[in-house]
Amino acid sequence: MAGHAEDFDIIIAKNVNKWYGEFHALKNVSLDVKRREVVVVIGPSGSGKSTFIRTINRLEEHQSGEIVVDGIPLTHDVRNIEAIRMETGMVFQQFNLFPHLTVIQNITLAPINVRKMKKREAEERAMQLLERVGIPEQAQKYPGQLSGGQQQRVAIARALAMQPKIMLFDEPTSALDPEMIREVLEVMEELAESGMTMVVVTHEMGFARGVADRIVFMDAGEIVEIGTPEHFFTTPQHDRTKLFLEQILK
Amino acid sequence: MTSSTLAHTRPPFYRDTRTIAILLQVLFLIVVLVSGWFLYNNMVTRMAAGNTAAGGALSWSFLSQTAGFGISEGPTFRPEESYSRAYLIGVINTLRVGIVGVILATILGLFAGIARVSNNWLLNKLASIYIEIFRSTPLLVQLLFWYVGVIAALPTVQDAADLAGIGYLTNRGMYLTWIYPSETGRALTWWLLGGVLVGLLVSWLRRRQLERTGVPGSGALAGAAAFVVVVGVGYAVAMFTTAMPATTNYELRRGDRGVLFEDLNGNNAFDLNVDRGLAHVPITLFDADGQVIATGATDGDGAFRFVDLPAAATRIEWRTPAPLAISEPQRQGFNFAGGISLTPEFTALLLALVAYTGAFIAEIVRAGINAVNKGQWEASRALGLSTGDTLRMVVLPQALRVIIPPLTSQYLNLVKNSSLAIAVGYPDLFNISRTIVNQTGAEVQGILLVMATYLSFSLITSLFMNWYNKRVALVER
Repeated sequence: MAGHAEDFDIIIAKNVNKWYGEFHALKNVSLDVKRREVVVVIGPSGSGKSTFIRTINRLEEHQSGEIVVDGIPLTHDVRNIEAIRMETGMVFQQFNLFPHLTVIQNITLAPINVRKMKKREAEERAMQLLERVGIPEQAQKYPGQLSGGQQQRVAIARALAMQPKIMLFDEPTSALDPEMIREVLEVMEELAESGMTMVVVTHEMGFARGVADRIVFMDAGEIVEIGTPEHFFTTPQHDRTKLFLEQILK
Repeated sequence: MTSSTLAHTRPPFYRDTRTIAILLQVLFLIVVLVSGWFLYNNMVTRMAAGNTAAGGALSWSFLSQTAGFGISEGPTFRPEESYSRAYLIGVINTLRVGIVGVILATILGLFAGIARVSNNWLLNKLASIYIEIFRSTPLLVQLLFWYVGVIAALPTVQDAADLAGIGYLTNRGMYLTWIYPSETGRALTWWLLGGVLVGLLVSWLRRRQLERTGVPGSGALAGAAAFVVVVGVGYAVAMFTTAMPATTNYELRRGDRGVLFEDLNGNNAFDLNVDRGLAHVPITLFDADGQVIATGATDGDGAFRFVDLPAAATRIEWRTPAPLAISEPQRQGFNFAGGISLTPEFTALLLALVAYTGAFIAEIVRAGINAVNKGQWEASRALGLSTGDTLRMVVLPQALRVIIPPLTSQYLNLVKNSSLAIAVGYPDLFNISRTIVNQTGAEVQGILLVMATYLSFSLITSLFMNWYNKRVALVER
C-alpha cells in the first residue's frame, strides 16, 4: 500500500466502463481524488453521475477499467470489497435509514457488527455524532418520526460512525423540502472543513461554488470537463457545460 | 344558489345511497336467518326421525360413556376410559403434530424462501423446483407418498439403520434416545413451569429497570438466568429430598414382564386404577439361583418387559433413579423399547404437512423480502455489513410486516390440514371423532365438536399472530 502523503490519490478511477445491457452508462470515466479533497459531480439527469459514485463502493459493478480506493484495488475479491466499504461512507438521496431501528440503533448497527465495537462505546460515539449533526435529542426516536432533513443528518452520522476516510454523497438534498436543504448542507460544509475526503453528486450550485475544490461535469456517461469552481462558473470550456450551466443558473 | 337547491332535492328512496345501504343489509340478514332456520329445522326433524344411539336431539351425554377402543399413540389411553378422554387424546395428538409442524414448516419455508431470492444459481433453482413440486400437488397425494413411498421403504426393525448412536430408523418408525423425568423427578415439571414464570417476571422487571436508567438492552439474559436458577434448585431438591415410595412393590408375570408400582391400597397386587406405576426406575432381574439375568428400566407407566431371557426371573430389585433418566431404545423382539418413538403415521403426516406448508411459506418469505426497498440492501452493504447480516438485521425484520398476515393463514392451514391424518390412521382429533361418531351415532355433535375445536385453535393462533404483528409494526409519526 502507498504512503499517506497529503497529495496521495485516495480514489483512482481509470477508464471505467459500465453497460446496462446495450446502454453504455459510463464511458471511459477517469478521475483521481486526493486526500482531504472535495469533488462535486454535476450534470443533467441520466448523465451517469450517480452510477459513477456507486461503482466506487461496488453498489454497481463496472465492467472494465480500474478503481483503487486508498490503495485497495476494487476487484471481485470479497475481502477487498468489504475493506473498501469500511473506508467509504455513503449518503443516499432517499436516506435509506432502517425504519425498524431507532436513530441510535441505526448509527451503532455497523460499528457493533462490522467493527466489533463495544455497545457502550458505539453508543457514546453515536451520541457525539448526533451532537455534531445537531440532533442529539432525537436519539431514541424512529426514522418515521423525523423530518426529511433530520433523517438525512442521521444518515450522515450513521455513515460517519464507521470512521470512513471517504464520504460519498449521492444527491443528498434532492428528496428534501426546500426549507430543510440548508440544514443538511451546513453539516456537509462542516464535514468538508474538517478535512474529510468527499465526492458529492448534487444540483446545489451554491454548495459546489463554496465548498468544492474541483467540479466534475458529466454528460451522457462521460466526464466532459473538470476544473475549479472559479474556472467552472466563469470560463467553462465546453459547449455542453455552458448549456447546462445556463439552464441551471437561469 | 344552485348548491342549496341540489341539497334539497331528495332522490327516490331506491336511488338514495343511505337507504340502499340499509336495505341491502336488512335483505342479507333475512336471507341468512331464513337459510339458518331451514337448515336447523331440517336437522332437528331428521334427528328425531333417525332415532340415533346418542338419544335424539343434540344430547352430549355420550361423552361420558366408555369408549371401548384403543388409541395407537399419544398419552396413555385405556379402552375403559370415556369418549371425552378419547377426544382429548385426539386433541393432544393434533396439537402435537400441529405445533411441531408449524415450527418446522417455518424454518423450512424461511430457508427455501431465502434460497429463492439468492444469487446462487443452484440454490435458487433447487428451491424453486421444491416449491413448484410441493405447491402444485395435492396434500393427500403427498401424504400417501411419504407414508407408502418413503417410510414403508425404510429398513425393517431387524436391520434398522443406526443414527449415529442417538437412535434407529426403521419402517416401523424412528426410535431416539430421550430424557424423561423419572419417579423422583415428577415435581420437575412444576419447577420447569415455575422457572418459566419466574424467568418472565425477572426479565420484565429487569427491562423496566433498564428503561428507567436509560441503559439500552433487554431483560432476556436476566430472565434466562432466573429460569436456570429455579430449574437448578428444583433439580437439586428432587435429587436430595425425594425417595422411592415406602410401599414400592412389583408384580412379575411369566418370568419376563411386570410392573413396578406404589401399592396405594396395600393389597400386594397392581390395581390399574388405584396403584401408581413408577416411571423410569432402573431394575435388575434375578433368577431362582440369585444370578443376575437382565438389567433395564421401567417405562413411563412403570411397566417392564424383557425378551429372550436366558432363564425365568423370580425376583427384581430396583434402585432410586436420578430425577432425569436417559432412556435408550433397545431392540426387543420385533420392535424397540425405550427412548422416544416417532410412529410412521406421525412422521408421514408431519413430513407431508411440513413439506407442503413450507413451500407456501417460502413464497411468502420471498414476497416479503422482495417487498423491502432495495435502498435498504444498499445502505446496509455500503456500511460494510455482510449479506447474511443484512438479511438478518435489516431486511427480514422489515419483511416480517408483509410476511406475518399470510403466514398466519398458512399456520391455520397446517393445523386444519392435519385432519388428513385419517388417511394414514394417525389418531388426531378428527380421526377419533369419526370413531366416536361411528360407535355412538352422534353425527351432528361430533361435527360440531370438531368444528368448535378447530375454530378455537384458529382463533388462538390468530390472536397470537395479530399481537406479534402489532409488535413488529413500524413506528411512524
